[in-house]
Amino acid sequence: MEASKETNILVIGYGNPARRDDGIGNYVTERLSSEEINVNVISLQELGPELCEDISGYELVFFVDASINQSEDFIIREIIPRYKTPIFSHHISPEMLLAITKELYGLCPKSYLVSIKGYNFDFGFDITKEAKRNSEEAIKKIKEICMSWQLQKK
Amino acid sequence: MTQKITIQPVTRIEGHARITIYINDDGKVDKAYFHVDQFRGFEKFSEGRMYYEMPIITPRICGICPVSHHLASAKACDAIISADIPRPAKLLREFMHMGQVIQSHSMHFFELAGPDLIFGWDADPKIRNVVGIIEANPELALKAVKLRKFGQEIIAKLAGRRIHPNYAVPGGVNNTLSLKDRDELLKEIDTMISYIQEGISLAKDWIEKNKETVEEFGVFSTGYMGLVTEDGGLELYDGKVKLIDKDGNLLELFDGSSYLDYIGEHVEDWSYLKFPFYKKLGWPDGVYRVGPLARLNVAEKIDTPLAQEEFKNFKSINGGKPVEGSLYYHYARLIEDLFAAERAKELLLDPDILSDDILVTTDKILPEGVGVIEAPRGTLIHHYWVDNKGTIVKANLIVATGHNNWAMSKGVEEVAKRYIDGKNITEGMLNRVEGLIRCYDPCLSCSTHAVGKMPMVIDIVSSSTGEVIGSVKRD
Repeated sequence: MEASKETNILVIGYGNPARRDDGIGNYVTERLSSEEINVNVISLQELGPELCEDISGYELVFFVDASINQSEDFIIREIIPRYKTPIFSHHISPEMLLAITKELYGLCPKSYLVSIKGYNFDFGFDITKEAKRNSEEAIKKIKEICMSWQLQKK
Repeated sequence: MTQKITIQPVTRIEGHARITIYINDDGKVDKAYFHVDQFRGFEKFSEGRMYYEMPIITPRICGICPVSHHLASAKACDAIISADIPRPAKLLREFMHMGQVIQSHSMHFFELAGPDLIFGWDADPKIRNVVGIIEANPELALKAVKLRKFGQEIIAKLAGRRIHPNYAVPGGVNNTLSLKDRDELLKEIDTMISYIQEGISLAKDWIEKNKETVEEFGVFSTGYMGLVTEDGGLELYDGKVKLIDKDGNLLELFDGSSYLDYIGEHVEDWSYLKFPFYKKLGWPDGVYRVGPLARLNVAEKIDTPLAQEEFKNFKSINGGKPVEGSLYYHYARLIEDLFAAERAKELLLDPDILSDDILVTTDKILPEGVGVIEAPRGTLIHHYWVDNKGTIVKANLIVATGHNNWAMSKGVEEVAKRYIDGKNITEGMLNRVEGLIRCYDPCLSCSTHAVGKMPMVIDIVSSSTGEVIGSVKRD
């Protein structure tokens, strides 16, 4: 799923849809792409450095990921560029991606990390009922932020 | 008394891994192990699925080399339906594969191996990473990003998305390449080739300045395995499997479908990852390496002009004999990167790439099928057994990182013994050990997939004390 609309908002959902609730990010981007909301979406298994060119073209970016280490159903928090040595080679954090973007392109969009609580990360393509519920709540909040952002821009 | 140091996880590789180093009272390294902790159950997960679902399911094994799994799976499915796919479909699949190789190899060199090479083993970890490269050489970093993006664009133009493609199907592919997309990619290809050549210059310069290190770092003898063309050239998509011994003598040249006649899999209780070996020599004499270094060692030539020139230089390193040093993986990877970009150009210029003759159908379902491809990290084998309806009853996946499992552990031990002083352990020493692993660019999230094959043994503890004297964790 790739960006195609004329908009200044991008939602990146990432995770492995074959590992049940790890696919929450992809679920959210799929849901948003079917809604009447002017955002572009990208679905990925993990973040890579080439994304910095994509995000450098936007003013507002959401990173949506599953989480196993939180008590809240979902958390949305603003993130800023931060240099960090990645734990594993091929995956970089959203903060690191923003740092690379800022360094290479001289600009960085306002960004939020949306972490949504997952419950089951076993093999399987279906996400749990609880994770779906959490995702729907997060989607409402993402839409609110987008609407407010667009109003401010007018 | 033996002391133990654990490095977990190894930074800048994919998935979970652990290195355990045993140090004796004299501060010398006794032994070292490279463990794989992550556990994936894709072989088991595949059972009960229809064969034609596999090219869509198996790319989920890995977010880094999904195209390789996608194509190996499609090739196994071709065999199940006994399909000889049309030439344009073959070209399109190969083109997609070149996109995968370009993005993977470019990323590895510039962003993963690069920090070690540019800043040195002992540099401050705060700068010894991709951001350090950006600050030191933003132009180079931007080129690296563009190279990776170009590779991803090839995949996206064919499959409509950059990762987890749904493109190759049993019997061919499901989409043509448009003239517009072909021309757009063609416009950029020479620039990409020049970027890779800059990377090669950088690697050669580093090798020249660090000759002593290169000649002693992770150097050991093994066999080598990789696909070759009919006349012995480097091959990444198809061809026969060639296996040579440590001196370069031909051991076997076989069709990938008969891999079980030649490759056995050994199991150790300290790793989830299996240890493939050449059956006729047995375990452990039959260990071999795969990936860029191995492929250039087994190949007799490269069929694109610029890569062939570099290949001649590579072959001169050890007078035509196999090159054994692990650090040469970086150089070999870039030569392959150059080949992939040149080959992509050749494919784009082939009129058949725009053909709509992209699929054949059959009504056959054979009991099994094997697909073999050279993934960026080495030979990837997908083998499916199906019932008469096409339901998967058993799957066997041998991934590139698995083939290199022994070599990585051996290399870790070699480097640990050479560089680690147990009485004064520094970050630079440990980084050298990690750097050995990075030579092989393992992708461990796609390696550990044999459910129920191994007991849950991860650490080996000293029988005398069991004491862990140091643990380094990256966060």
